[in-house]
Amino acid sequence: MIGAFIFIGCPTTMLLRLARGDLNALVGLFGFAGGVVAGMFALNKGFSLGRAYTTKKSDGFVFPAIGILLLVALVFFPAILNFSEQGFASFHAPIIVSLIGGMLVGGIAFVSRICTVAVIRDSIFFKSFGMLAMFGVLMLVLVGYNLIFGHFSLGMESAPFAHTDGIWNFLGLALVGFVSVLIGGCPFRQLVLAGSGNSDSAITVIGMMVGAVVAHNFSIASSGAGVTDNAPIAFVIATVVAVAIALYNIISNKKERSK
Amino acid sequence: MTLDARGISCPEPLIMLKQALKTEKELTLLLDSKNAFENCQDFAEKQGFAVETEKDGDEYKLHMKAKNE
Repeated sequence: MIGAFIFIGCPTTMLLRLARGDLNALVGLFGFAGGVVAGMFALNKGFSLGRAYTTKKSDGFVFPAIGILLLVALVFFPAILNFSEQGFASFHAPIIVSLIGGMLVGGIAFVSRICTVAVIRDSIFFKSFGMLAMFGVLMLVLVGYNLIFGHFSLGMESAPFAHTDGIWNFLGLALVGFVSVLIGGCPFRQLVLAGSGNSDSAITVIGMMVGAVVAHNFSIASSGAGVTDNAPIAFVIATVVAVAIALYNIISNKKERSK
Repeated sequence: MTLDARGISCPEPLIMLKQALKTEKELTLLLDSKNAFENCQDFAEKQGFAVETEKDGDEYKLHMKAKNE
């Protein structure tokens, strides 16, 4: 989440921004791909999440239940929630549109297993291009929509909700890519899996929420004005933690195997 | 050789398979995810292996044999 807040958006947002002609997102895409390659290197070296086991069916309902509770709060008790008043997150569709759109996209995403990490991973390492074709079609549709409705503007300076700091756009999403490979899917995919009853992903999504709180509380989140002073510090800490977890996992798996 | 990749999430089964197929000419792979099953079948076929599949409930079994043996 720290990486995504430095870039301003998750990999899915990166694609949406790219489809509007935002070239800062292209820099982010290169960073993301670099992060995925680094993560694959760790997997090839023996990083493993280990075996997952099927748990009780009721465990799978916990995360969707939290979502339904939040929806009830949004519709009936909006006073207990805080809303963004400015910037990227303050723009939203009416609740009913969001709900129907979300269910449609969620359903399609679940069936197609679409994932921004998997597309890079499969294309580069397994020479499997099915998902790449899916993303190609998606991008064509998005660019076409933006062209028709006049949202398309190619460049770096003109993009809304973006900063032009190339290094941090690159590094921010590189961190997201690296971590996403290790946890087996991009943030969007984690959300879809959590909704389908995967408890590992539910924990990941809760972690993402905590990350968002940390990013906003400690002024790590970038804005159109650029990255904050705290962002580099947070980035270094997050990267060190991610690499340390990967190394610890690889080393302990090696020990386990040699036993 | 039998490789048990049940309970392991993608892409790890695929990496296990990729590494195993470097040395093995014949291999049985156990999986319990449709995602991993499709990916592994696809990959093995591209590597020039004849693949036979079996499905038992939620579990998948892939028998792979090098075609040129």
